[in-house]
Amino acid sequence: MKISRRDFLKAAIASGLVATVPGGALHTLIEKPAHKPGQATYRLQQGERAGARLYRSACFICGQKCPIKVKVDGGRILTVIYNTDGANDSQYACCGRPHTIFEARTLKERIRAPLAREGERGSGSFREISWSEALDTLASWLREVEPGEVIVFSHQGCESGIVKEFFKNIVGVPNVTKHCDTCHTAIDYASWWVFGKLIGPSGFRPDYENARLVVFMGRNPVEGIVAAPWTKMFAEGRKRGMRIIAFDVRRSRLTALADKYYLIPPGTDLAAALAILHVILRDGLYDEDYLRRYTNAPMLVYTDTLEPVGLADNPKVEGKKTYKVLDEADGAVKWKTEATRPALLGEVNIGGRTAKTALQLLKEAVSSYTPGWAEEVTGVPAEELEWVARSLAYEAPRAFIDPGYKGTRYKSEGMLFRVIHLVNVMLGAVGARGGVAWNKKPKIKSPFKILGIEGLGPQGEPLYKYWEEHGVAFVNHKCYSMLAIRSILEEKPRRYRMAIIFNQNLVAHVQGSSDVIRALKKLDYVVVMDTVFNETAVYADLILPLPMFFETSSPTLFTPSKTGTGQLVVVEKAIDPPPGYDVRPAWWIIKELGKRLDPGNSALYEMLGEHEYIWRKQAEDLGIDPEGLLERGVATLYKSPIYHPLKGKSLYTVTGEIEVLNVEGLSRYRGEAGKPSSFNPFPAWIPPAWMSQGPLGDDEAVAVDICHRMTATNMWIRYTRLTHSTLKWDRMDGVLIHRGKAEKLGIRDGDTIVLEGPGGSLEAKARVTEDIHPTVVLAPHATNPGPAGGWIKVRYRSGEERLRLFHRTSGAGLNTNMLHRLGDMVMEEGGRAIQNDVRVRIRRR
Amino acid sequence: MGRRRVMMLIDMNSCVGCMACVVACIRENIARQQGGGVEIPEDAVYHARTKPEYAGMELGLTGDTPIFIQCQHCDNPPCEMVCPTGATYVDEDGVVALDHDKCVGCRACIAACPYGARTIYRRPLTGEPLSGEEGFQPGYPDKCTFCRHRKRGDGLWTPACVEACAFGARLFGYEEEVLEASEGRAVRLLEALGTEPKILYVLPVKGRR
Amino acid sequence: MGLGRLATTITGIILAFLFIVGITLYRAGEGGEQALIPWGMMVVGYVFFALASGGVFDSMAIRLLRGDEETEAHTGLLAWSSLALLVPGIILVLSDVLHPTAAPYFYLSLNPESRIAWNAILYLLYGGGLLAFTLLVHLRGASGPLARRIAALTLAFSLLLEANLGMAYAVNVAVPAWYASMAPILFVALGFAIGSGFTILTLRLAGVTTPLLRDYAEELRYTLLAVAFIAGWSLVGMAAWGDAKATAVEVVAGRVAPVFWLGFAVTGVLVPLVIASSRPIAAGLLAIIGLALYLAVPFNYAPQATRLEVNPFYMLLAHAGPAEAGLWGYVVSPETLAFIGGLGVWLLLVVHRSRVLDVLGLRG
Ligand code: SF4
Ligand code: SF4
Ligand code: SF4
Repeated sequence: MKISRRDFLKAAIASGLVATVPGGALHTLIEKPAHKPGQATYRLQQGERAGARLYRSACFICGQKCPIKVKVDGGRILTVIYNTDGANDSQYACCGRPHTIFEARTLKERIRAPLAREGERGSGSFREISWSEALDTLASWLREVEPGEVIVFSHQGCESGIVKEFFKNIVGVPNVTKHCDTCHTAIDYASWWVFGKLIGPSGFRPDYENARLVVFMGRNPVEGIVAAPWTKMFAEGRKRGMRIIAFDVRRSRLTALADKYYLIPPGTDLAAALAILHVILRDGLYDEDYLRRYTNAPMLVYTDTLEPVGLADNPKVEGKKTYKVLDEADGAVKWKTEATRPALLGEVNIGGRTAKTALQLLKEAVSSYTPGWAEEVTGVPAEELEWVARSLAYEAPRAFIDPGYKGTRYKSEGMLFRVIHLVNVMLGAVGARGGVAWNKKPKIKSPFKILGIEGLGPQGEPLYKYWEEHGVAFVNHKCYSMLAIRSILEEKPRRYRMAIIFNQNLVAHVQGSSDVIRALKKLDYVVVMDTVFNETAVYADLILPLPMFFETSSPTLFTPSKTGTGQLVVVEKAIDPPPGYDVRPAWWIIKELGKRLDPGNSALYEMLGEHEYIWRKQAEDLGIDPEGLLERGVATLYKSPIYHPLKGKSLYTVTGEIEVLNVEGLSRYRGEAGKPSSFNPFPAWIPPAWMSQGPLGDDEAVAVDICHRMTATNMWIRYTRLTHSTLKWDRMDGVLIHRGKAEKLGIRDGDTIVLEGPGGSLEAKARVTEDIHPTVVLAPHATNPGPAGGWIKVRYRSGEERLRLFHRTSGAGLNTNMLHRLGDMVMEEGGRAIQNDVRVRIRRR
Repeated sequence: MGRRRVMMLIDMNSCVGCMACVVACIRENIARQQGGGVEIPEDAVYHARTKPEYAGMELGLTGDTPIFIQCQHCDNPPCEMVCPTGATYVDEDGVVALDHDKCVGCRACIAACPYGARTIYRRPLTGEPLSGEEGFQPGYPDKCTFCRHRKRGDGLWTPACVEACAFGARLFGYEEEVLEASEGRAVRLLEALGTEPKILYVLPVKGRR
Repeated sequence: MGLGRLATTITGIILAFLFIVGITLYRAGEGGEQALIPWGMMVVGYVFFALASGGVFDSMAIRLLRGDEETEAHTGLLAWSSLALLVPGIILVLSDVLHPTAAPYFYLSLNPESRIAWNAILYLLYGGGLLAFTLLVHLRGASGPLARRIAALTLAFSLLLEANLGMAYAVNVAVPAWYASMAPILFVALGFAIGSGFTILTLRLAGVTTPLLRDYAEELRYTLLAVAFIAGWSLVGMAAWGDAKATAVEVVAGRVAPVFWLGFAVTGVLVPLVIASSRPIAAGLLAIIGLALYLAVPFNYAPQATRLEVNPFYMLLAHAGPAEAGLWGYVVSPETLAFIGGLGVWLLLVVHRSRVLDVLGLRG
């Protein structure tokens, strides 16, 4: 479909695309789409120079996949602009990171051709091989090993979905894992306790736009990753009067924008959250009606056995249970479904046994977590914590504690997010407008399904089954990268021979880098697919270089749906890789691999290159107009997120309600009550690991890594001079250490320091500051290559090349995973990481 | 009709400090993309023509108030006053511009600017940025040009930083429109000096509202 | 050639060599970042030489116009010395500006609001007048009415140039310690003081030991008192004026205080005041050194450096940007070499005056 410039202009104006720019600016913001979307085949030649063209893509620097437009002319990237559907502009944005793509193309660290290892594994020597040799080698390895001996690690990148699906369903690898156990697993786990299922952070939508007060603990929607649309809603919210209270270990843009902020010791947010819950329960600041209607707060529980007084099939909701309550209307104990006004608090005597309501038990459980107690842990004055709790209650339900994004930093984090959920429930904010709404995410039909490429499915048992039988609870069946490393090391349940690592920097990203290196060294074959050299690629036997995300079109639509309104985005190729770079996208690799491993389906694999065809089918499957989507590059499927406490129907819990005391948890873990345990069915204080090891010495600190506005997890962006220059500007081009501590240790700004942790040590540059809590040393994640910082030697056909990671920048920051051990994972919460919960010793070199 | 002056409004309530504008400015005006490579000066952010910082009491602001350091396109520019050759001048749109041909390199403009808007780079750089002659050139005092190289014909244009901001924090337009959009909430920095800046800041609203 | 002359010549050659090295290094970009301290030692250098040249000329011209016969006898020498001081000054101007090829725009596209533009004009007028006067006295002697008229006119240009150089500093609203300061009058006083010093040295180099030397030693004392008074008064003014106070504190008690007290107050003012009548040559030399130090550090450097602490924008730039070199980096730089080396040019020209005049065919 062709549309004229005038039509487009009209549409753009009608849609509000230009609302923020005064009249005359139209002609540069709005481009007639000169380029027809959809490039069916992958061109290796330099694109023709036919004037500036605007391409629709999505940023894959972090996991959010924000829609962007890239304007290109003559091999140069002219502009990067966020793409929007116009009508829902407040949910479309991109952050500063994709603006760096023009530098990314020619980074020294880029892998420019398929490479085979030379010399010992990890020696950093490689030689160029042809694509056919690379693919033949990979195919022969895959024929040689059994699928059960392979582990596929896939992180992000445009095609991680099809990579996972191909290896799992077609090659039959039972172990295909993502990385959430080093990212947000504790949040998923916390959700199980309150909502009945592992729900990741993308399941919720903090409704900043309509909120009046938001408290942030362990989340920075301004600088964090997977954030841009949330950041936009955050900014929108601020404009509309949303107030912010932040708890953090450092001063940042968030604290600068906050109405009030507190610097606290790392991992002690839980104490503050418990105190807030304490005040709300103590003073009855909760939403009674909400608790009665949507939660099991009135559920009567025997105090001796912690069993519900009764549990029976709910006649009104299929598959869910109801329970006994005390009806305030007549003082009788009856099924909730029959009660007029179930009591929220109180106790009754039933046949000589005492029973209390769930809310009563909750209140008693947190009765000792007074603001005074929390003040001792966090340093935040008790009256301030009272004030925070009261302010939340005052603004409820348009007030909440942010449900967070990252949740694998501290031992206490599973409990922290559980308490946060509980506070939000007390406020009646879960499911409320201006509270924490539920996300809606469209299911996009996979290209394999569309093309009818089928496989046998996984051949064998996944390794997490073994660990579930050996003490690891709540494993997320899509995310068990740490357990996989353990399996390789311990050869349990079997010996593993091959790892295929797609866009996942395991060594840098998994807690206990030296353990990961040992694991990789144990394998027969290590295959890495990535765009740049990194801490993991140096241990590969075979490296398949990928184009940058904007250098390829993708065979599938994407959904950057963490907005809750079902965004769809088309990814076209914006620019070719630089001349002479022999890199291929994952879909092409899979197409070729498929043809080799599954020759009978060759014709179907060939179709993987027919991107526009697939997009159209996917769009049709979702019931949306493919023309509109292809024209614009984006579409929004839903009008709003789900504003309903129970997600519109009933939740995943036994009762189908929000459970302030989890019925299943009570039956499984009643023995843990009263203990500082993650399984404790009641909210409880669990100190972070560093705290339980006694007071910090003068030369000790907790190593904390953060997300900086221009870094993301393990991507090339950290190698750019643009990022480095920003870090330098922000005085973060090293490790931040508090002035007081630095003075005691004789460390001056700019000194080289050594950080020693239980799992390894790092050399870094000290940046002395007062903007952090004195207990921490802090830097952006993965800004130090550690042991992988040596020279890499590549024999390209065009000549030998020597480079180092952070070749033109510094790499003098931090990576807490390198200081840590794999073994310190939290077994109760799916074998997740505690990446910031590590004590280090600091000295001047 | 008198000349129509352009102005920029930066709403620090909407700005989240994402750096998009800064990097876009570097890409447009500072860095060079050429021959398959990219040349970026050392300390690129320092040399960017707009850069985020926090100011406080010194500006009569409270606490860590986010602002941008950049040329304020003063209507009464001290840098223009001291420039001996008229290399620094105010163009017909009110943009404080530099004619590189006329610049002798005396650095009086740098000394004269109360906003720290001008930087200078003394190492060699080859090629040209996207903005061509209006771009960053070693040995010349550099500062924001409001991306006036983007102007076509008589109309208004969109500066790179404005285009890059996904959060609607930057607004560029003619004086009347920008003043209207500011709804009287905006301030000018160091107003007492009489420089009459053409950049307006809406400062973050904080505290118990 | 006598031993003294030989030694002076060698010193002159070495200094002149440093002059070339300093300028070359500076132009090769070794000057570092110039955004935080935009005006470095070469600016001080050209201001210094302009003041020195003007100062030598001014008192000579005034004496001449008053009919002082002794002065008249040495007019050629002093005019020549004055010219020899202007030469390195002008070379430094053209070396300091980063794009000297654009210098014609000083005149083709003059901005009348700019003090630097007026400097360009006044340099030309003063330089032209000085050249004309020098030629005239060498060819026809200094006694005629024409010489007097030119002397009077050039004197006016010289005083204007000195004051205008000061104004180039004083118009900077962005540098608190300079803004609306007494720099113009200070510069005129400095011109006389430095000029007296150079006149004494010039006479000594030429072997003149007449009472004229004593007169100048006396003049040095008055003018030093004037400089000290204005400099002190400026400090009091600064201390009472908002952001400039930081500079006053920096000068009297901060990192640059040693330069102010030892370099300027003691070496440049006190000692010369005391010894001027007994040892005029030493007094002149010390005054020149002390006043150069004063111009370089308390006057030129300190206000720029303290602005990095008082102006919020510069404060942030200095905090987050590339490191600023500090006083040490400011002083130990190619620019300083060029400045000091400039003295070699003057020295050679003065010592070998007769030879140069011969070459130029200017023996009247
Ligand atoms: S939030 Fe993530 S995906 Fe979105 S623009 Fe930023 S880095 Fe890219
Ligand atoms: S792009 Fe917008 S939100 Fe981001 S830093 Fe710039 S002005 Fe602020
Ligand atoms: S208007 Fe242009 S030159 Fe000025 S700061 Fe914005 S992008 Fe840079």
